[in-house]
Amino acid sequence: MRTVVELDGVRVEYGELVAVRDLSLSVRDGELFCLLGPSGCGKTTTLRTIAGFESPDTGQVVLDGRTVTSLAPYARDCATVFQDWALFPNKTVIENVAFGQKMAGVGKAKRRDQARDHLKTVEMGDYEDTRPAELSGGQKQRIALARALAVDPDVLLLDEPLSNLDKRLRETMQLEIKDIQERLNTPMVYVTHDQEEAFTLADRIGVMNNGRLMQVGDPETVYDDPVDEFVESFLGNSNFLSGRVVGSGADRRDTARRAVTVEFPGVGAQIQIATESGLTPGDDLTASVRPEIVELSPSPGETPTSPDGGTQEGTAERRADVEPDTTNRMALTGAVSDVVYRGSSIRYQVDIDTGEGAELSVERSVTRAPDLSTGDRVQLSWDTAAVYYFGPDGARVRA
Amino acid sequence: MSEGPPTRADGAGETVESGPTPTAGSRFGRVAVGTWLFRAGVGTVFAFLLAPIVIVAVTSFGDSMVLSLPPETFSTRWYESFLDSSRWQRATRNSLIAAVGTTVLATVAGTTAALGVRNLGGRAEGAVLGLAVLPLLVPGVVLGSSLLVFLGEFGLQQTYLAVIAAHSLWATPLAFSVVRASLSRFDPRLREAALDLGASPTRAFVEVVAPNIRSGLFAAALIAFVVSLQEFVMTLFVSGRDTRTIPVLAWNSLRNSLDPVVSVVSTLLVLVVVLAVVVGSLVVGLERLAADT
Amino acid sequence: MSDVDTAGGMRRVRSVLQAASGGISRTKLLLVPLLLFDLLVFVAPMGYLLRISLAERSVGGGALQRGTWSLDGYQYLSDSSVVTTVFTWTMLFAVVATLLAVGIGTLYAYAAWRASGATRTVLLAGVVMSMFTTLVVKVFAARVMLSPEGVVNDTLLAAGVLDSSLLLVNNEIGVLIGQLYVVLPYTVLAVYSVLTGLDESLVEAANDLGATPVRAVREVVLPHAVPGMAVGGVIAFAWSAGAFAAPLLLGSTSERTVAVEVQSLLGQFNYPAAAALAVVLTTVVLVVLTLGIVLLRRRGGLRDV
Repeated sequence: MRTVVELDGVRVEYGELVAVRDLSLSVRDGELFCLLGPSGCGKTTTLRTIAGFESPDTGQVVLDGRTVTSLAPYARDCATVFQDWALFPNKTVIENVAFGQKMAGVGKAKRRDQARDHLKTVEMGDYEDTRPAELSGGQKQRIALARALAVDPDVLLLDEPLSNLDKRLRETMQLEIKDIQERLNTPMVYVTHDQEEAFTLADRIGVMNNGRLMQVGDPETVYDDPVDEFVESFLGNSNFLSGRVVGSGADRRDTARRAVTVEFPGVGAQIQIATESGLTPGDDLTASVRPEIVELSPSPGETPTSPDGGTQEGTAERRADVEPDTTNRMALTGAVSDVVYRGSSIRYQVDIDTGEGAELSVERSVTRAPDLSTGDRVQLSWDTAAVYYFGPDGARVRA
Repeated sequence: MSEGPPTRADGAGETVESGPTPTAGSRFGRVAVGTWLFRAGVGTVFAFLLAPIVIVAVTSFGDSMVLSLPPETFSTRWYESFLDSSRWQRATRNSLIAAVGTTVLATVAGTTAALGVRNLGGRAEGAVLGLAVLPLLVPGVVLGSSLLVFLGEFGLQQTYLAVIAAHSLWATPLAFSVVRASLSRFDPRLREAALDLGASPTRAFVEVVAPNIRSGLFAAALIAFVVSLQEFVMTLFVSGRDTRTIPVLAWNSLRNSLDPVVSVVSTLLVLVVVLAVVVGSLVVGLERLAADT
Repeated sequence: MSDVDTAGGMRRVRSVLQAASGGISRTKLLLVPLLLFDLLVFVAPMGYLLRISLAERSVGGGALQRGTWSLDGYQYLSDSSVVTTVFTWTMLFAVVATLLAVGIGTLYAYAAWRASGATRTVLLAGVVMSMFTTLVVKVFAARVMLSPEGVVNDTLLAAGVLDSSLLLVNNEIGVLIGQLYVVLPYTVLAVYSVLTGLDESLVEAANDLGATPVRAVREVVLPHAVPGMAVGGVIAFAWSAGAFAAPLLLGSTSERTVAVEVQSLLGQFNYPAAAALAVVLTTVVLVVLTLGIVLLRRRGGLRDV
């Protein structure tokens, strides 16, 4: 598979501030690559470096086999769709779209014809002679896309092009962009801070934080197998429990393997994790308990609540603490502190009884949601093997 | 009510009366009088500012040789006198030559500098700004006489070049700041988009930047033109008999006698200025014009 | 497709060449016209003037007696009592004119800022037109207005405020008024342009919190206006110190300013003295201005003057 964009050890500094550090990535032909990360993580700077608006202090930018690091934007074969679209207000729509070809010296009739084709691709064929000021946000976005496609770029660069649109329009446009990309097979590098958007669009995702590329992979892999605590926290809502390693030694179940004992003061529990990671007592360990692995059920107990409705999953009474060497399930009790109705789903906040009384949240779709209200007593349990663990430096600890 | 008077962040308190008190009537009365006094004052200043224009226009229609206000009879003889006078016609021509030259020079220098300054860092930008603006602060007499002796060394004194140079000393900083203000309202992404699509920096300027700062460029040119037309002190020093502009000739006429043709000239000059301001406001908007200069 | 390719290829070659020269030198190129202009028309002549002030009086021909070095020019300044008196008077005049111009200008700018729609347009138009009206017209009209037979006196006499006409020309008052004509538009605009950055609702908020209108202005508007007042003051002082037309036309011989004196010296072909006086004037003005700016910057709120 041909590589269209390659960044090699790129570092971009603004005076004291390092925006991008030691970044290497490659984008393959025909793929839609998303750069995902929070504001200030350097994703836009990376994009601009590919486009030529930023010059890396070290490292190389290679487009389609040519090293373009020192070339100006107009010498590179890529085109950008800007966040606020940057349509030329003094030109009509068709003049905007034909601009690139005009700069390349293509004759007027020919470039207007080509521009019309591109307008048709984005379904804006009727707006040839309108001025950008008369268009809506979604329409401007399409024109910006057409304008960039019109120069037949090796790679299309998109800088959060949909972030100025309302949600429904955004979702429609996402699908349209994806559709266009698949039809034309133009490689795209798409910058966004919206995890859902990245998952909808991307063939591959690169998660960035603080100027660094944390992980690259297709959406499923990145979601199922995060390599870093940051990636885990950015990609979804999870319950994070901080813990401390209190002992290490042989795994009680299989003495050939090593394991560590970890205490989680937030919920007052202590478990054993089999891992070869070399953690020692005193190290910090963070556990990510994804809401989807948590089983939630009302607990028959001191204060009975109306038993109507809701599914009851597991009624066996369990103690708060888990025997370190018996089951692989963590079981906790607590009281519902908040029930948040979110349209198609309900989120429950539960205050745990034991330990420091951490608050965990579980989300259920409305049809599966147990009938609980604030103050109800509940039981939470999950399979400890389905939990993601991260060591002191944020790196994933595999159990 | 029991919290006491509101205090400012630095601790200085203010005693404020809340609600009607026995003295409220007189206080509000005082305020009302104060407001009217204020308004009257501003009105007077306004009248004061416009008075020269009115006076000059009125006296230009007088009939006698004596400049009096109001004139006894109404006549246009001084306008005819002006049109017949070769002195004044030459002065008009000189003024126009100087104005056009200044406009071109100031607008070009001001625009290129405004474009260039954008990319500079803080300190360098400050230095360029300072240098650009400095001539405005040096007394006109000093600038005029320095140009006079300097250009005299090269035999260039009293030439059109000298006059244009002198006028541009004033017009360029103004053009520079107007274009700069206009550029600051220009979205830099537009230029980036042009570059991204293959335009060289020059073409990007021509196709995208210039058309969108058109009003700023126009305002700059207009200001340069008007500044040149009415510049007096420096021109007095650097111009000669053949190159003197209208203000200089007017001044000389005034020193010698109160020639009513001066009123005519002044009125016409004022008309040109009014026209320019009106046109400028239509293009750019009066408030912006005022704010940019 | 083929001509797009070749066009693209050509573009690339050209672009590589252009891009190689880099962005910074392009900036420098853009600054050349202005800097060259300033160098030739401002820096060089001023330097030349300085040189003349340090030379001997020329005999025939040009202004500079080449090769000579002397302090005759400055000597003349310190010897001549006329010069010292004139200088002192000019400085005092400049201070008074500046204070008045800034004071009145601020009030006017405030009024324009608070006014809405038509009133504001009218007030601003008056200022802008006055600014672009030539000095000669203003001063000449001032003379007509203020002379014993002029409008001002006529109105005041008719209104019964005066018994006999006020002497408003050929004295300091006339010169002051004339000078105000020159600088007032600039002080107004300087303050106005900073005020436009202030949200009017802040004054209302202050009123709402219990401040009297005057107090509200003092606490909210004035601090914001200070940078504009500083700029206006700078301009007013610079021009008043170098005042030329107003003193000549509206004052008597006892109201000579430095600028007038310079012209007189030039007329006598005493170039070193004229140059020396010009240099001293410029230096004093620049020093005062720099001090003013530094002081204000220290007190904060002065971003770009």
